[in-house]
Amino acid sequence: MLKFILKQIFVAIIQILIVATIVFSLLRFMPGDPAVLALGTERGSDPEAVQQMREQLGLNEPFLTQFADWIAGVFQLDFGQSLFNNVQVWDYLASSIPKTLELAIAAIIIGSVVGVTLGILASINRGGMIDKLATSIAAIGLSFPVYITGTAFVLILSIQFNLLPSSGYVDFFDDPIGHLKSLIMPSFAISLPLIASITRMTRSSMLEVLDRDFVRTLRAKGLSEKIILIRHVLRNAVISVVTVIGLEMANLIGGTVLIEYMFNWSGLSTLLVDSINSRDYPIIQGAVIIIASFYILINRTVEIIYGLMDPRTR
Amino acid sequence: MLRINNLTTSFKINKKLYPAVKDINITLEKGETLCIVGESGSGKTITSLSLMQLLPSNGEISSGEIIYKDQDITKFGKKKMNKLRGKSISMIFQDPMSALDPVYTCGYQIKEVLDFHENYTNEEKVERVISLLKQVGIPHPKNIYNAYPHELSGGMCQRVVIAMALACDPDLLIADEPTTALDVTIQAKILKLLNDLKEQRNLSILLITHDLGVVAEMADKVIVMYAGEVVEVADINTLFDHPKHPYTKGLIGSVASISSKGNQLYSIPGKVPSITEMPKGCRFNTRCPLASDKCFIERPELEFVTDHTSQEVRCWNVDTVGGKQNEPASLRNKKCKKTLSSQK
Ligand SMILES: Nc1ncnc2c1ncn2[C@@H]1O[C@H](COP(=O)(O)OP(=O)(O)O)[C@@H](O)[C@H]1O
Ligand code: SF4
Ligand SMILES: [Mg+2]
Repeated sequence: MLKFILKQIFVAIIQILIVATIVFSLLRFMPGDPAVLALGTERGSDPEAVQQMREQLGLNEPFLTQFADWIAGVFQLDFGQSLFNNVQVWDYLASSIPKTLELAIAAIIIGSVVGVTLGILASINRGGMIDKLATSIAAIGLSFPVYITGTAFVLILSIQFNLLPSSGYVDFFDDPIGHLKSLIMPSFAISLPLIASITRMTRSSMLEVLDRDFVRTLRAKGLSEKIILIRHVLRNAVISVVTVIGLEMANLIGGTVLIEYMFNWSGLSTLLVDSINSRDYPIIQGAVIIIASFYILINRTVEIIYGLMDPRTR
Repeated sequence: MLRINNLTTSFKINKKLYPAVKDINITLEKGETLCIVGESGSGKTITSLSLMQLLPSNGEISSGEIIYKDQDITKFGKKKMNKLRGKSISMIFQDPMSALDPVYTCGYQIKEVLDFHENYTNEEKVERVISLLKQVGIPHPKNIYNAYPHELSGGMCQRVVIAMALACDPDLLIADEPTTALDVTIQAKILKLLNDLKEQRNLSILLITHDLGVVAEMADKVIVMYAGEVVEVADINTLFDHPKHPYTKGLIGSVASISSKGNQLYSIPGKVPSITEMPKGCRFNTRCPLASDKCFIERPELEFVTDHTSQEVRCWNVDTVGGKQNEPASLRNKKCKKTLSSQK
């Protein structure tokens, strides 16, 4: 098992290296002078400004030195400075990462708890009222985009009933309660599609396991239905549910732009979009690498959990 | 010890009830092996699942009694049935590789039965599991205790399943095609193991199979089933020496033609009718070489035959107590075989 975990870590490092290389190459091999691109059409025609930009982007160094510096920087979380002020890229990232993680984790927890519960209830009531209800909730959750559910939440919970703040990030250390309140709506809005897909996955994989031969053996052993369902059927079914949860989690890192804008919750997606708009290359690079690294790390972790849970894959 | 009286089990298909097994009667004494034999689809599994009350959700026992140790267990609730299952009546199934939960170790899964039915300390349980694994002929019981099912061969898995079934010293073991999924040499070993265990423990075994070779190896008494009905009951010698029902003869004939060197492979033409399309009269009439007009109108009853008192047959055209035909069995047997082969 230790070997397996070490292997996953090794794979993760290689993948991050590949991403770092791609991000490096993109800027260098883009058609046109990146310095000009960074400056925009107007200022890009000024040779002095271009020269200065090349300096700032490190484009005057020999190619290999650039690459080595870049890779070394990536592993030290040093992505250079913003083009427009002297703030380190990492400082931008460091303020967005916790927000993104918090939102993603909150949504994943809500999605998993609600989704797994609904999925179990639906599967053991197959064809019954609860099953139909859960399946409809899943269908609704999947068919409305987040900006619609988000807007609906705001309209109902903030504007109609004035229960929760309509938008705006409140720092946890300033006002913990206010912070949690501001977290509720965006995380619920994001979690709806998660609830939907996790409910579906739990339901179908519970039903699949319930159909397997060994369940009959367990009944023949005289075990109670509750033990069969929880200790055996659910235990087998969660293996595939974990994969879905992991994938959804990975997608949330960097994939929550709309909600972040709507609730003024400036995480990684906001940072990425803003830096693309202002062509702030170092920030774009840093954000892409961080998002990709989270994606990779989550997937490797899922792989490890999968291995821990399913003896057949070890 | 076990008496099944007029058991009928039905399935709901498109809101209509169809009997899958009908008016089954079975008696099984202590220390006896009873084989139920018949082609696939003849209702053997459903009979055994009815007995365990493990029917699929669309099936139910619609009438009859199952008297086990003087109690009608069809009247038992869930809790009472759970106390019986795995403790007094155990069951093993066809495919050993899929009969075990893949995420728990073999040892844990055997111990689980003890957790549920016995008040041993943990060490006693572990000890008992190891000794059970030894009894079913597993070479390194301590290693197998911690092995996962996927790490074992089919034969080993079946031994683990048997150990699990024996964990609480049951009185009755139901085995539904326990060797069908295994290759021939392993098959023989598992059958021998079952026979040994039966001797040692005075176990009653209800063995379900479609393989007459297995029957010959194991049975004291045989029930032949066809299309959800018992068509013939006999002790093992009578059945092989004097089969009466055309279906039984067909089954025996098909084995004989496999074992004799002739390259023609004989089998009964046609297949078992599905439960939604049972023929009227005798259910075998679509495939029977002896079928007469009456067979298409009236359903024969299971009746004792004249010359073997322990033998019962469901057929109009054999000399049962109530039957009329007097043709000697041997002659008819030949005729039956000839008709059958000429039909091919
Ligand atoms: N869940 C079910 N729903 C409807 N029909 C079933 C079901 N299970 C079995 N049957 C039918 O019952 C009959 C007997 O099946 P079974 O007992 O499995 O046969 P055997 O074990 O002798 O091969 C078959 O015709 C089969 O199609
Ligand atoms: S009753 Fe008629 S059809 Fe049925 S087995 Fe006997 S001879 Fe054949
Ligand atoms: Mg069967």
